Amino acid sequence: MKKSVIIVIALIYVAAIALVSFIGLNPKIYNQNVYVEGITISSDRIIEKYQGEDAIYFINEFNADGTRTVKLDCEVTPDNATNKKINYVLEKNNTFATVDENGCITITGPGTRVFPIFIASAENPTISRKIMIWAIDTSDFE
Amino acid sequence: MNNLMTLVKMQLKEKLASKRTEKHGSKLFNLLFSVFMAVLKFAMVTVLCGAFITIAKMFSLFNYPGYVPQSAISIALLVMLGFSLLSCTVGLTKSLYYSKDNAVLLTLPCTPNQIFLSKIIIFFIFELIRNFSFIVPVLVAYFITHGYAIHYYLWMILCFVFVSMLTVVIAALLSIPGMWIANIFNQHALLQKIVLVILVGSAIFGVLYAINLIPENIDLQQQAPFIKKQIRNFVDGYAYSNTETKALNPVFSMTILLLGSADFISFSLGSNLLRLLILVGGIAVFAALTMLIARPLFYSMASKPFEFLKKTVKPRKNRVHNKKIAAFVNEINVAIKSSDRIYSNVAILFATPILIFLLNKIFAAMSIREIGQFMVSTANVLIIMLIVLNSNTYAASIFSKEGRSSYLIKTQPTNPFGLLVAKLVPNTLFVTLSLVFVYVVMYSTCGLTGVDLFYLLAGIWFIYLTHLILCAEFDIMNPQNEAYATMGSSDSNPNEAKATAVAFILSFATAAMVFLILQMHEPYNLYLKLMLVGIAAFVIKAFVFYQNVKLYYKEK
Repeated sequence: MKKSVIIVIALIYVAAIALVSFIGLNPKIYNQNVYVEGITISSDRIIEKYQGEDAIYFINEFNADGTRTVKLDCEVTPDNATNKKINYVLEKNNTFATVDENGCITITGPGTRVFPIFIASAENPTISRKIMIWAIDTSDFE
Repeated sequence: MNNLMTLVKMQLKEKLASKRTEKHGSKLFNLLFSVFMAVLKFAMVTVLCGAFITIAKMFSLFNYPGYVPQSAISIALLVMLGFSLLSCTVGLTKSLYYSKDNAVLLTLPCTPNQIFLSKIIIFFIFELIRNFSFIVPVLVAYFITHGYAIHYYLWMILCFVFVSMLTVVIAALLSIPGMWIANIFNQHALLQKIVLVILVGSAIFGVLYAINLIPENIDLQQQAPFIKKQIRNFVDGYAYSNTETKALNPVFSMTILLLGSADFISFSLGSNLLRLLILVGGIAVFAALTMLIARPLFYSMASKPFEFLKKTVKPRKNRVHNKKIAAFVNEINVAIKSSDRIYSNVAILFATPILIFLLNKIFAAMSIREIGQFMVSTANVLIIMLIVLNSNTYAASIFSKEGRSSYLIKTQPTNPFGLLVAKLVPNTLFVTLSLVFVYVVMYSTCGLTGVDLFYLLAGIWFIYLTHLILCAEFDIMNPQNEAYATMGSSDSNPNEAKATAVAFILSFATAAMVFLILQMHEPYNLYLKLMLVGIAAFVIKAFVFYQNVKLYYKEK
């Protein structure tokens, strides 16, 4: 094979790669808004669909100050969703528990408490989950 | 001096006569046709290079706004001159020490000095023609796209004569170690095979290493600014031997001699003349060394009759092969033992699958849409076909290369068709094996089904066979025996040029067909159709070839 032919084939080889790189690639969309599709909760204390409820959480450890705390590990799907913020809402008449913006629930006072918490996407509140929190005080059963 | 001129004219006439096809015996027509073709070739290369430089300017490929830096052109020149030097060294080694016309030239009434000089001058003339066909158009394209004044062109052409001279005298000097290496390889077949294995192993290792370096996600559009910056750093790093003091690299400094100016605008005659003087001095030094070292060696090699050069080979009993397979066995032995052919065949055997593997690995790192997938399939077909079809060029001179012995085929008491086909078998075996490797590589990287891949490669194989027969037919119908008989080689065999042109046309036509059919809504059994077209073409060509051979070798 002549040297000039080898050079031409090498040029065609490089041109083929360049052509596919500039014409054949998938279009890239910048600043694309990826919407939230669901919310997942990861914890070893979760029982999915227990007695018809969405999820149930059991707590029975007391802190030194007499409160009980639990952190809900919630994440939106897909991973690359644009707005990943989640809102945690308690019922209005709930006077014994508070929740912060990170999903950390604090229950004040002794006694078994059962109450719901609503977890909703900040972007689209219709994507939400209701979790029944079961804060059990074992002394109630002694 | 007269003797030297006569020798140059004589050899030049012989070489040019082998290049030009005689048309109706008209010398003027031949001359005009040659000039027209040379101008056309020059214009085509200039336009192609101009297009590339314009694109590079438009996209600021070298990260310089609106222009291509001189250092980039200098790198291109350096590479081209490097190849030119390599090619000159190989060519001069063959022409000075192994050419068949040496024995005839030494019988002429002239001194060995004149013969030696005439050979160097002939080589210089052809080097000049070659440089004017490839390197000068690159510079002309650069000058046109960057608006250089007319005196730059004239200066560049003048300087190029000296640059070509420098290449030839250095190559003449390098031809001595070249000849030693060739002699060592010729005398030690085992060493030749070891070097071949090392070269192939290094090439495979190098490509696999390169494949490992391919990033997981290639997006040239997004990565363009970074790549351009890297290119600029490389180009600037080449231009200056010291980036702090901005001292120019000596090679780049010599390139500026050709370009006439380091800053596009000022043509400094003084500094340019100084550079030219240094170049002429270099030529004088190398020319003196050549005359002192290479000339006596040339005389010693050329005057040694070939009868005394034969090696003493331990006699072995001849093995009698079946008459039907004897020619095939002989041709395979010749192909394996001939260094030129074994290197070329091994290169085809490994280069095709490795290049396809590299290509598909690069494409696999890209996020490709549907049209991109079609382009990838087309690129695979195009690259495979370009390599395998261009490997057939040798077949366009395979019978002529035997010189005056090629007519012996007619005298053998057997069907000449078998003898002719036997010569084509070794290359076919290597290409077939290469396509088997390509099948394995593409099956694991390309995403085509096994059956489709089989149809595709079988189609390519049949087109390859068709082209191979066509090339052999070119040589039978327009033999160049005389050129090979007198000079042992032919620089531009018209049959080889035709074979190359047909290889490119067939490759692009097939690739275009694949691309167009893939874009249809239902490219049903595309690759099966390709295979059927290949088979049909092969059958027709084989039949025509058989008829031509019957006609040409018919003895009454």
